[in-house]
Amino acid sequence: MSLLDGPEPVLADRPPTAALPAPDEPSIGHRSPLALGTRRYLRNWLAVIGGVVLIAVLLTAFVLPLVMHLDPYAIDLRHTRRPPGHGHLLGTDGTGRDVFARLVYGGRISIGVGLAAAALAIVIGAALGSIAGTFGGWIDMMIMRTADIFLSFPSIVVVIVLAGIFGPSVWMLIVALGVFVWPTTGRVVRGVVITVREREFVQAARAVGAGRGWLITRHLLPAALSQIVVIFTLTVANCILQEAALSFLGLGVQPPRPSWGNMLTSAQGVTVISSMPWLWLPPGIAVALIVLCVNFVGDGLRDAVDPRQQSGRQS
Amino acid sequence: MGAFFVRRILTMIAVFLLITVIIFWLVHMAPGDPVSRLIPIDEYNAGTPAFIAQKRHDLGLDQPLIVQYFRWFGNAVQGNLGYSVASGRPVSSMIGERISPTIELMGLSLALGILIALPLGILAAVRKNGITDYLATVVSLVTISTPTFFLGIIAIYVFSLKLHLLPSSGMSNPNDGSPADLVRHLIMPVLILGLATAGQLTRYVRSSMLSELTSEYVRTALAKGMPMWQVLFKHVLRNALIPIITVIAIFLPGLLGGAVVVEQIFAWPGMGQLAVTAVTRQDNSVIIAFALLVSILVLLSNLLADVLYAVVDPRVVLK
Repeated sequence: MSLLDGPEPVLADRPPTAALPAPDEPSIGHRSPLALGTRRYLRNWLAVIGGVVLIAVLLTAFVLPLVMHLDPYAIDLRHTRRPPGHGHLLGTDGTGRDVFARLVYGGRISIGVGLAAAALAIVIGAALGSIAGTFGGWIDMMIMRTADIFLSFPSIVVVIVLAGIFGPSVWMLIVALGVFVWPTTGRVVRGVVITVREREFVQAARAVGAGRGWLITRHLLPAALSQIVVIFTLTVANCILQEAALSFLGLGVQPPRPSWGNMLTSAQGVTVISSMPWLWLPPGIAVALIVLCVNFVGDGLRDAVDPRQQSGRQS
Repeated sequence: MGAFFVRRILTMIAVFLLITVIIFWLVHMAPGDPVSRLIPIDEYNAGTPAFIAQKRHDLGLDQPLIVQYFRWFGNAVQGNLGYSVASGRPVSSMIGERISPTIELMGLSLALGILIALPLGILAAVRKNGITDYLATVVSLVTISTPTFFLGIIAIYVFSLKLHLLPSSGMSNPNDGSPADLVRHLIMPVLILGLATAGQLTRYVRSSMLSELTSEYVRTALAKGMPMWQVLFKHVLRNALIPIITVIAIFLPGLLGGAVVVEQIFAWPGMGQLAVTAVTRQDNSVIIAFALLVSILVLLSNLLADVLYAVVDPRVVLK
């Protein structure tokens, strides 16, 4: 493409697959925003693959233990560090526990922590972001300055400080992650609120006497909903990654409870790394895979929700 | 502009004071006897109850909290950060010997990250939707999504244990202190942290370049016959760098977070490793010192981002 072409049409941005509509489909004017968004999402094949793999991983972590007997805590000291096979799909660890069972249950915890922390961040971010955007002035300035400072504190360091003083725990991990990743949501919600605030329907509501609380909950937050969903996905990916790193360092989920991060902690010895890859490859691949998939889904959702914003514009 | 910076620095000092209050309060809430954190641990363990009570009085721990705060703050400002519970050594000297390995690691990784991200991001933006763009997006997403500790273990597996090319841990071989030995120990940690940085930075470079490439001045320059490479390097790149430089300044604290993990994998004797060890030993005075240092780094890099923004871009008028 030559640069003289100027700004190109937005839809040319994604891979040109399935561009032609089927003859019996209604023309573009009749499609709902949801249908249009779904169409845009399905056109992004990375996002589709990401979504499929993500659903498969979620089913394995949350549904498989219901239909299959898996015990992540059963110790068998006669069969320690067995390679895959012999009734153990992914072998056994240093105390003879089944690696596959620990991987599945570890996934529940890692994904659960990620979801909980991201949900907390979204609640804080949406509340503070909409307040900042609606009120403006010094309230806006205070909230956004605080957001800047929170955002630049690496959550690893915050958890180190809290775990050092109070001892590590899962709840502290969730709260610390949630409290320190909210600014991303806050900024996005504030941005949407500021643009929607001056639109006619909001002015009309204000003219008939709607208060700020009503405006935020009935008009401004719903307008930001699609953006919030996108940010939520990307935040979940970030939180899963952080949880893994912190549990790896021994500051998050504590053994014997499994998590993808702490399963890798035992792999710091040279013997384990060189000759027992079944102990460290599966949890590492699991984290990378799910985070990658959630990121693909998040990017796909962003393009589907707002085609003007191209992927890669913000992290 | 002068007034802006004076106000920014004053806010920064106020925020720092607030952070010290929070840290002091957290430590006050911590379980355990505070006397044990302020005198060498052997002395504390050997001391009679009367001696401990005397020490408590001498240290002012029986005084109101507000008085204690100012005393603690005064000591901290003078570099007296108490004693480590685990080793009994003064915290300031423990931190002192750990700072330079961490700065070495962070500096080199940042440099590597920029060296990878700049050309890759520029190329991806210029050949938008081309193969390079696609590759850059996928590579940066993969490096962002793969945990650094997993990449580190893979690197140890391949380069140390299978190919026997590089040492898997530490900063130097005790029998060989040559500069070449240091470089061999540096390669893997810097590579891992640098790749993680490059992954994030590439996206910023690409999007910043893209938004400049659609500007009117690019069209004008091309229309009057300026060659493409000249437009790119004389006009577009200079403008695109403005937000990137700011982003790099804000990156610094996150880079330290990454360094904590990388130091742990490669047993790199830096501050992150010190802090993680301190957590497992409940060594509060070391953790507090670490928290204070990181807070200063965070506030300074925020200030740096603002300053750079104004210095690099003459259009910015700060009030």
